[in-house]
Amino acid sequence: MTHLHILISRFVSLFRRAKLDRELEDEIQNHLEMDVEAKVRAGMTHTEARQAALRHFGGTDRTKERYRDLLGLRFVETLFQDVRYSLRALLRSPGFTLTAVASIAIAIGANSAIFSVADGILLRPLPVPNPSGVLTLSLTSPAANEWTAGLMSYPEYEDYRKNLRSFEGLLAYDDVGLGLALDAEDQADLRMGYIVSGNFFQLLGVEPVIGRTFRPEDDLVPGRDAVVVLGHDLWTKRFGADPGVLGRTVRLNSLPFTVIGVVPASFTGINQFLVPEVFVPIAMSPALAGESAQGGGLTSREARGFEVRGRLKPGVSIRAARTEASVFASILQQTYPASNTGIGATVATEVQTRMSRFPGLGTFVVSMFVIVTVILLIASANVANLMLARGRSRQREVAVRLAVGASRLRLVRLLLVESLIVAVCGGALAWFTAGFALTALESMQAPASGGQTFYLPIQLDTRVLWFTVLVSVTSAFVFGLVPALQSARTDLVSSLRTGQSSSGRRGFSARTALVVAQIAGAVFLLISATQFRSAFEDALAANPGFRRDHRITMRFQPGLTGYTPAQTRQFFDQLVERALQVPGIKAAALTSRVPMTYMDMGGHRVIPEGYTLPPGVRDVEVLSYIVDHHYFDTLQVPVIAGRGFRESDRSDSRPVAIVNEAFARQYLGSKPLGKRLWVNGPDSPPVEVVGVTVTGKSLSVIEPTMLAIYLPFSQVPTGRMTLVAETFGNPSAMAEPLLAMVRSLDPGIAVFWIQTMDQIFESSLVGVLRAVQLIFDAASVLGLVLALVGLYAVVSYQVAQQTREIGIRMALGAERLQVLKTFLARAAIHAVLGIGIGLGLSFVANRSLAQGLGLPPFNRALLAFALVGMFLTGLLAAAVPARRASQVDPQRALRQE
Amino acid sequence: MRAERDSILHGTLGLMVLRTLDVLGPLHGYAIGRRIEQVSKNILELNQGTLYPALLQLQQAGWVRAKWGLSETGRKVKFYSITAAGKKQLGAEAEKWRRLADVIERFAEPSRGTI
Repeated sequence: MTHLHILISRFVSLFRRAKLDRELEDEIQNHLEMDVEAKVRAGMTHTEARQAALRHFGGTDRTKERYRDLLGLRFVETLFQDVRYSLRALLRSPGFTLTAVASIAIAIGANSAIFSVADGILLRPLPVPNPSGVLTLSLTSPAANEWTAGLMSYPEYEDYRKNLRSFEGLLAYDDVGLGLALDAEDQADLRMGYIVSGNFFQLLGVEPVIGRTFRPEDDLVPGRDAVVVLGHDLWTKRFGADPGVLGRTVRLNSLPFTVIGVVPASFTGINQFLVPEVFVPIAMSPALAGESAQGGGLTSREARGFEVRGRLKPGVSIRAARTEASVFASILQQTYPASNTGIGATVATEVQTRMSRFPGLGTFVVSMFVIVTVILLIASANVANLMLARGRSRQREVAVRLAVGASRLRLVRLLLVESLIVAVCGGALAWFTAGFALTALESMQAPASGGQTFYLPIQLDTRVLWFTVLVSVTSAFVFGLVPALQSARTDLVSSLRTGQSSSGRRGFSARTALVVAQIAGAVFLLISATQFRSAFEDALAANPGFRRDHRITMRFQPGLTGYTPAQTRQFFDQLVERALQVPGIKAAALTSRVPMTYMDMGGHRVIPEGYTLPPGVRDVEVLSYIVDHHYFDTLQVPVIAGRGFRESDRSDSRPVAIVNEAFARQYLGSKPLGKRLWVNGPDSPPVEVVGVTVTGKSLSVIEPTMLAIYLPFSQVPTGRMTLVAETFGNPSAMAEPLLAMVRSLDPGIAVFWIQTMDQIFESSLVGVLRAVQLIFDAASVLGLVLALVGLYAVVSYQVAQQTREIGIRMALGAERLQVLKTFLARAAIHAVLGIGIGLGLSFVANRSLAQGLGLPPFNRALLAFALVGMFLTGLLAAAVPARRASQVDPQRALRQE
Repeated sequence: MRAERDSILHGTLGLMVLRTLDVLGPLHGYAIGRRIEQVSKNILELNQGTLYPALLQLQQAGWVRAKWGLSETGRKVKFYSITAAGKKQLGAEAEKWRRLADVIERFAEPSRGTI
């Protein structure tokens, strides 16, 4: 307690030093005067009394000094001196300062940019109060696939909500596309929204900016409360931030909803890639989907589509919650064996949830951080090297300071202050570097269209600012401490005597180690970049299993504007027929999902004939495409066995299916044709496999092998389909003629997402991957340049140090070529050492990182090219100063002091 | 060396200052110094300058508080007084010194037969 008290009062006095100084002065004066008066009273003369009083007091200066020490002022005063001195010193050598600050700025900028990306996709907490308290309750299943893992059905959510004691409450939500129209006449526009449980906002702690959010009563009776809460963005853009929006009616999927509130701009939803624009109660979801209240969406135990989050009760550990959840899951297993056999439950933090929902995200973030850390280390090594060089030239000055009594600690501090100044200037500049890098990254992503784009949510915010400050200060210690310690170790006597260093050997080895480390880092980056590039190019060049050029798509959901299923069916039939009549259209087809998107991730639970599933697993969920009989021709998806769908596959004919090769190989063996599948539960009529297609890409260019089945649109009626039209000319130019045709069918129908397949391809993960490629490339170029500068600096330094020695050797008859060779040989050793270490590092990293990212093994040719290139450019960088050495004039060199 | 001497001085001087303030109430620096010299019957001739750093340390520790006021001769001076925490500290310090003095006494007067 007392220590704390002292610390605080010292800290406070830092800000009152002038006042405290004056007060002490006054006090001492008063003291002396009183003493003089007393002594005069005792019979001394005034002069005698004055002298006696001063003697008695014992020196005012010492008192003041001691006093100021106690106030902690000395430390600050000398620190200010250090800062002033460092600034002067830095300004005196602008070349050094500029190089150092620029290296650091670039490296820290790269770090800040990557942190911003990592923060956006993985680390940033939920935009709600006390975000760390929000946990995910997810189901576990041996048969789960990537895109449904963890989700719950509505009855399951209700069971958990009512029975788990660990949680204050559990909320459920699902993201859905909704057709939004301001009134009955307005064209519906597809918006991303959340259907949420009634306690959603209360549990998260989100307060509305106007109106109110949902109450549990809003979500009690299916179909009763048609109320909507608007996202802030939608409110400002479509309603001009008008508070009068409350009570207004808007149409969602052509049903009237009353606006009751608006969430704040800070609440951007729970999924980091998708910002919801409207919120509606789950109880309204059957109506929105055009189902009756008793429809499958909310009553089926197997329609698992809800994300569930909760807040723990105070004092309950996540472990206890996990145990309770898994115990309850086993109760459900016994109660509902048909739907819940093998289904467990677990509780995870937000970051864990994000990593499991997007596999590879964690590895991606880690590898990005590794890259920028290596850059920062290379840059730091550069600055450290520059500082070591400076430290040597300042050795005499340091020695003088030590001789006149400066403590070594004080000197270390002085040099660290200098590093800190460099780092802080670098950090400040880095803010702009990072901004520039992020703009470049953002421009590589296709513009977001209706939430379809896989979008990196990046921004420079205060979190990034703090990170930048942290990295700057840390880097100052990384590159400043070694040179500072080395300088302070200066041997006093010999430095003063000769003006030359005795610690030359030590300095030499530290610098060599630094440059070898730099080369190793650069090699590591170079290898990573080439490896990623070759993987990426392979992926881009690989046949995706369909053609995407000259193809345009547009999406329809006639149910949103009041079509019955029969009318919908008729509309789609007409649509293809009429599209084919539009001049410039070569072919047209319908599909429930366009390949290379993360949208429309519909799946079917399939029981394959003749395949024994593992115990506890009743079916397998695979991606399904519902397509018409033109699809395989229009997208030129090769059918490698059997046949495609035909017009004769009708709703009243034998149910059929087509599978991709991966599915056939996994579940149907060598003779897939004629095998049967159950796609709607074991009691439904089976479908017969009549064809096999190639295994194409379904989600993005880099993806695990996706098993998929195709079902005929004629036999599986679907409300939401995408028209794909092949054009003779530029596909974008056909958007207008096609739209005109659609309007002639129904002027009121909503058309969503008119995009060419090339655009879809770019806006799938490709844009992000290109951005990643840019990061790798930029990093390796940066690393290479910084390492070359480092090598150049070290060799120049060696040459400068040994000018005298070279002169002597030349005077004794050494050839110029030999001198050149000596220096080049040394540089070559550095380069080879660095390349060797870098190569080793890459192999180690490759094991863990490349596998996580799904990268192929090293491309040997590229690798060899990178290494030889590194070696040659290294020699070139060394050759410049080495040549200078060979041109030393022996006479001059020997005369020089 | 210097630090060591200071700490001994601080230990004892602090005790003396605290006791003086405890007994006599608020005093200014000069009066504290005079009083300590008187009590020690001028055996201890204080370098009075050391008093002020000591007072500052006592303030920083929260044992003494200072307030500007007018002296008996009409000077504007700083009056020091002991705080509650200071009184507690004084008790503890005094106890420590009593025990130490007791031990020293035994060595100074070995006839009492303890050694």
